[in-house]
Amino acid sequence: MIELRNIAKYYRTGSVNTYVLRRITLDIREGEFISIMGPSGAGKSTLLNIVGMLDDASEGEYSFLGEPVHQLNEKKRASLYKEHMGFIFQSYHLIDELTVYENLETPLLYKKIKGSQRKSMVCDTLDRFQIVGKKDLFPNQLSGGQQQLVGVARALIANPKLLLADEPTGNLHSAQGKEIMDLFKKLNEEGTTIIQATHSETNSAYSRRIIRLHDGWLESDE
Amino acid sequence: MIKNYLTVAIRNILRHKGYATINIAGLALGIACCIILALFVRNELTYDRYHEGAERIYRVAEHRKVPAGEFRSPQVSPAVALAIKSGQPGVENAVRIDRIFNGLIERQGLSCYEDRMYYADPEIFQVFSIPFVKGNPHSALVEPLTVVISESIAARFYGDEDPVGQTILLKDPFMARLNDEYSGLVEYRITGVVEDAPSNTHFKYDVIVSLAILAGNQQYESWYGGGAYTYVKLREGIDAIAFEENIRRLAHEFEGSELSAWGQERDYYLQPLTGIHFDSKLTGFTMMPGRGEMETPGNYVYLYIYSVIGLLILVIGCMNFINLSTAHSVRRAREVGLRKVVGAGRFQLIGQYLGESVTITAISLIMALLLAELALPLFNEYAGTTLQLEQLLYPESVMAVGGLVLFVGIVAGCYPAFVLASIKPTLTLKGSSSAGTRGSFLLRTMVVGQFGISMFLAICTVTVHQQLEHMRSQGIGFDMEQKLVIPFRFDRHVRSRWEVLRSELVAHHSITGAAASSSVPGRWTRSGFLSYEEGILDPPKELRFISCDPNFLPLYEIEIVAGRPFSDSTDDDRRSFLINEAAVSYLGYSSPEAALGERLWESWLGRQKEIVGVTANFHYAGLQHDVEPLFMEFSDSRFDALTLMIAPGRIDEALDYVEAKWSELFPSTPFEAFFLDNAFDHQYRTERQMGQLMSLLSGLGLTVACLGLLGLVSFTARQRAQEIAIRRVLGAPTSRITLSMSVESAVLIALSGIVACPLAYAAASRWLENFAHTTEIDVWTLGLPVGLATILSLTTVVVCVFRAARANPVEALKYE
Ligand SMILES: Nc1ncnc2c1ncn2[C@@H]1O[C@H](COP(=O)(O)OP(=O)(O)O)[C@@H](O)[C@H]1O
Ligand SMILES: [Mg+2]
Repeated sequence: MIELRNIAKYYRTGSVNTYVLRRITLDIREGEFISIMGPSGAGKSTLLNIVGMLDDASEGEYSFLGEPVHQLNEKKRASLYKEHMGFIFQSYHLIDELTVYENLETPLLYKKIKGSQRKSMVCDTLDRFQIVGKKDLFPNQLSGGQQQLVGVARALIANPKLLLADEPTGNLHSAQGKEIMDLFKKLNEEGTTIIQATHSETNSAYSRRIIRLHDGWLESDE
Repeated sequence: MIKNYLTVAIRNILRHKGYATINIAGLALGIACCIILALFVRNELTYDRYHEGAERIYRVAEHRKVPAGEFRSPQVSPAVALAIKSGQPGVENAVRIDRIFNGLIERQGLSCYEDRMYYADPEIFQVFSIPFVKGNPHSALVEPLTVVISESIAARFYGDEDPVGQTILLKDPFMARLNDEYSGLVEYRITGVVEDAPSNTHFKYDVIVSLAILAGNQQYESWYGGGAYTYVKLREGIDAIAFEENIRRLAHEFEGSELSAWGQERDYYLQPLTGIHFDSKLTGFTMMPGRGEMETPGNYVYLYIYSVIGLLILVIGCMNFINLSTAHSVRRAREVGLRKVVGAGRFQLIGQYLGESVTITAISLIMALLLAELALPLFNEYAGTTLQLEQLLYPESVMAVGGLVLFVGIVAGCYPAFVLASIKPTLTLKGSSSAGTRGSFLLRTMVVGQFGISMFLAICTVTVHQQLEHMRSQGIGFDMEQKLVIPFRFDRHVRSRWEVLRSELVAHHSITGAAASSSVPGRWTRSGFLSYEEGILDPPKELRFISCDPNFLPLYEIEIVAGRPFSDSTDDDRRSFLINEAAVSYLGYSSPEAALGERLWESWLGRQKEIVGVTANFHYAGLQHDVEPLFMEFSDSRFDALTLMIAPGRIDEALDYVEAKWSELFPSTPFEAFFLDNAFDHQYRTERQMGQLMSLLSGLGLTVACLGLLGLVSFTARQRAQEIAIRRVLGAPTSRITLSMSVESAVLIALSGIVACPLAYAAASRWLENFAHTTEIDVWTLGLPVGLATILSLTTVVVCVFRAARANPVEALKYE
């Protein structure tokens, strides 16, 4: 599903290039549940963003479902992303001005899904995540855990093939974190490919493959 | 989707009410000011164009050469219209309009003087488009002793009654010259009510009286008779130039030998109706009051000034809107990033944010229209206009306004739509630390622009006020405090009893002095001719003149530099002149003393008088002009005003007494009086109005500019929130952070000042060229507004930055 060949990412600081990722080569098949681990600053988020097409690699090749992402134009890439991916952040990024219901609906709007179908999809998701009672609340009226749940729900609402999660439990306490992890496990069993960045061993235990990054180098792949 | 956008937009506005109000109100104010000024300018530029066939209507003017000099007059002999109508096939119609000076109108005890009263031929309604509310335009003024009144006169005198068919009393004090039968109050029958004259016509009527009582009067309709404004409407396709040539020597065709015997030459020419307001500044035969233009001609300079101010205010409003919108949209960087994360394409984002911005601009436009609608009655009252919002409803202006809204909306929406939407969401999601820098050049330029314009306006405003103050305070050469003026309005009865009136009034303890004169300073109408010897008319000299009693000079505290003032041994002084210093050199004398004892002929009356004294120059016509040569005489047949000196603190008492005495002496004549200083100030009305308008607008401009600055500062403060937070965490005091950001703003303000000062200096000097006596543009003129703007803006900055710096650093650092 995902093939990364010699992916590198650097930022220019002054006249030198500071490498954040170096020559990452990685294959990910459909149905996998992968944890990317490493200390803070190792490049986990960067790698995830590149895979999620939120950021470009500086060097290397990336193909997704056989499409050479590094050669695609922005529009093509956006539609690939829209079609197949969901993204979850460490800090629950919801649109502040929209209610839970509207936040969940937004990705569907961009996918141009018809009104009635949209409605039933949002209702299903609200049901599934047991947040029906919260649907008319604004993000700032929810607790952190609830917000993260909505974030997860929004990433999943359009049934993405690939779920990318950047420290999804980082701001949650352990009980909430466990709930999310259990959910991931269940999703994975249902067929969703999941890549999460984490530095918690507890979380990585849920996955079936662990990739360790250190200083931008791929250290191990189990 | 649209609903989703709208929801976000509306909730955003509601969440940031203060910001949204400021933003929308700023732009709305700018647009509203611009709309009103545009209406005003349009009003000036469309003078008399609304008349049907306006391009075929001309006024006949006369260029007359007499041995004593040359004149151009907008009024011609009433014979001209008759000759044209009977002898010129190219004429569709012609009408004579003759102004009634100091006309009086009375009904059932309610009486007042009416300045907008005219005699007119019945054809007036065929030549001009004057809509009738009641009555028949074809028959209205045909019969003698009929009158058509405007709606406001009808409302004033008849209320809800129907005036048509009713009678009203009118008095024309000058009628006595022609027809004694009609010299007093005369009963007229109302045959029509017409709409009030709009403000864009030079012929502003309130009462139109049938000219039939004058038509046929040999004296009136002779080639040497009175003067009537004469308008011709040419048939379609008639060449005006050829027509003009046909009528040029009209007088000579009829009265050739007589005219040459008098040494007179008369040439008639045509003035296009639509050009009268701006292009015609004829003074007429100045011996008589009320000659010359019907209304003070327009001035292009003020038109330019108002256009420029209107545009500048609009520009400030737009810049402010763009600035604040951009600054505010930084807050939405996260939303933009998130939308991308959940699948928004770039064009969808562009569409959303541009659409939102254009919508808000459109809301501002609606607010602006409402504001303008509310403000127009006040403006009309203030400027004496009849502007209406509908007058802007024509394709060009609608397109201009629509284009403006689109343009401002798009520019204001650029930042979120293009800059933020093109940035990788990973950047915007982290907060806004590195997302914003790209917009700041635009913002800085705008702030410099806004402040530059505001300072420019402020400097010009200060100049206008300085000039007004200068004109008020400069030695005007006479005293105008505590002076109450009672005009006689050419009322023969009042004039003949002026001495009785005077002695009755000075008897009261609240009145310390009184003087009669033909006119008072600030109300100038007359001039006359002096020549050195009888019979030798060349070169006669034209001078202003004033007729006054011996009390006039002491009452007005006018200084005598040589000789003596008029004395009470009256007969003697009816044979003597006073002249002012300006007249000394004008008449060719080497010094005031040298002029004493010289004898001169008053050309028009053929009387010889001796110069007995020379007065200092006093500014009888306002400080816009240099003091012109003047002679004074003591001839009570020309008295038309009584000036009373009121004892300090006794104004109310004096007014009551004067009014009571007046009604006792002249029970049938309405009482009128004005204070000289007010009347004198009235001469500066245009300047004062401009000063007031500019104060208002530059104040608005400065306020709006400060809002723009606020936008920029909060924009940068937000951009640098993390920097500030980290510095705070590292222990930097709030004041240091505040200082570093204030310095940046100060540099921008200084830059605006550097741009504004030379431009304002140039504009202000150019304007001051209109005046004979001008104030100096000094350091204060420039320094005061610039200083004020700087203080105001730095305060804004400090408050804003201080708040940002005091904010909890954890908030700003949370996302990292
Ligand atoms: N916009 C950027 N400019 C420069 N350096 C960056 C930028 N974004 C991230 N980095 C650096 O890249 C490195 C990796 O960051 P990241 O992928 O977020 O690490 P992790 O998620 O593993 O903690 C860090 O050292 C960080 O400082
Ligand atoms: Mg990270």
